[in-house]
Amino acid sequence: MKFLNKIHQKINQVTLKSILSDTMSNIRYNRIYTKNCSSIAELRGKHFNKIGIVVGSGPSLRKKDQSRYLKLYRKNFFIIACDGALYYLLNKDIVPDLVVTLDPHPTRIARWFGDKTLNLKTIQQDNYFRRQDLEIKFQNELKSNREMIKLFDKNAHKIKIAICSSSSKLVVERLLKSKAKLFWWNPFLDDTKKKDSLSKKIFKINKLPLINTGGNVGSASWMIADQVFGFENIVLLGMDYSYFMDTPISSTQYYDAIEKVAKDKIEIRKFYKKITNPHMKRTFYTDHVYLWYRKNFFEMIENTDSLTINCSQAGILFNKRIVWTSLKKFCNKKL
Amino acid sequence: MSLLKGNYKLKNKIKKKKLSQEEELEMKFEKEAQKRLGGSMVYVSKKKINWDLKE
Repeated sequence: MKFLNKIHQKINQVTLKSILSDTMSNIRYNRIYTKNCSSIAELRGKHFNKIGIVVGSGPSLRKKDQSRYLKLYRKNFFIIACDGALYYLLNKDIVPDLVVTLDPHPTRIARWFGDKTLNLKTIQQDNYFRRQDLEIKFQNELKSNREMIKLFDKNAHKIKIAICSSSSKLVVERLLKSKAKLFWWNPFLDDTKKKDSLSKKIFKINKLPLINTGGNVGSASWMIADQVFGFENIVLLGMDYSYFMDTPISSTQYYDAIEKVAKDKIEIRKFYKKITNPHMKRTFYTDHVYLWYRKNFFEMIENTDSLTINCSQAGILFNKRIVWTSLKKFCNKKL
Repeated sequence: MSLLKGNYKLKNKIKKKKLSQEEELEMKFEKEAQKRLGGSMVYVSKKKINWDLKE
């Protein structure tokens, strides 16, 4: 574990370095759109009488399909979907109220909204969607992309998007051309009191609120539910931060990076850890990056008054502050 | 600004610190992750939202 702890300490610095050029150039490019845009601040305190539900795109979303209860109690919920969960929801005829997108990756993220520029050449250059475990239907890339274009175009007028100023040109153009209403925000990259603070620099570019993302779109969605909308109860669905034991190691999110640095299978194993979920009495495995996200998430939850209820029915996001139940039990008891 | 360069040879050989297997792996991971963690955002401990930079 000593080794993984060291890696965790480094991930933040590494992440900052790795995203910095993409993030800053996207923020500068998006200046033309953020000049007269709607800020996420416009949504502050709205819908607080509802129950906020954050839908992540973890593998449990499909494997433990609870969409029946989401549909049944739809009017009680304000659904905040991570971009990667949009295809699943729209396919089930569930239109989320808000979709959160933040990843600055130049080509991948547009796919979650249906990428109208996608062609065979782009597909050949990046195998991410063919090997990832989050949205298995996206493994058939051209077919799923065509479906997603139709689904999103059909429903966009009912969807609000919480779009981070770090989003890529491809995502921004796709969303601007759709009928979705965009609400912009900035990523919180460092302490604004620091000399030469990047966050401060970003704020001066567009004057948009800075939101601490927790490291990924799932935790950023939770932060928006907690701090922008102020929901008293925040339900989580599809928030695993881990893999089912039958997931091939090669399908894990960071496998390609790990494979490059490790000499052999023994070294590869150092980056992974098994964790047993006592509520489910089931073991999952996770990697160093997900463990870091989990650590951040726990800290975020420590510093809030809202109650987080994890209904994912799988994964490693459990601790004393998080209520663990199923969506069916939660709805029967609370609604 | 001009660059200051040494023009003499050192008497003692400077030994490069030998890294342990873990340190080596950690370093390799860091280098590789810098190229691959493009999807992740950073986390700023104990901060939530700063609406207007005044807080």
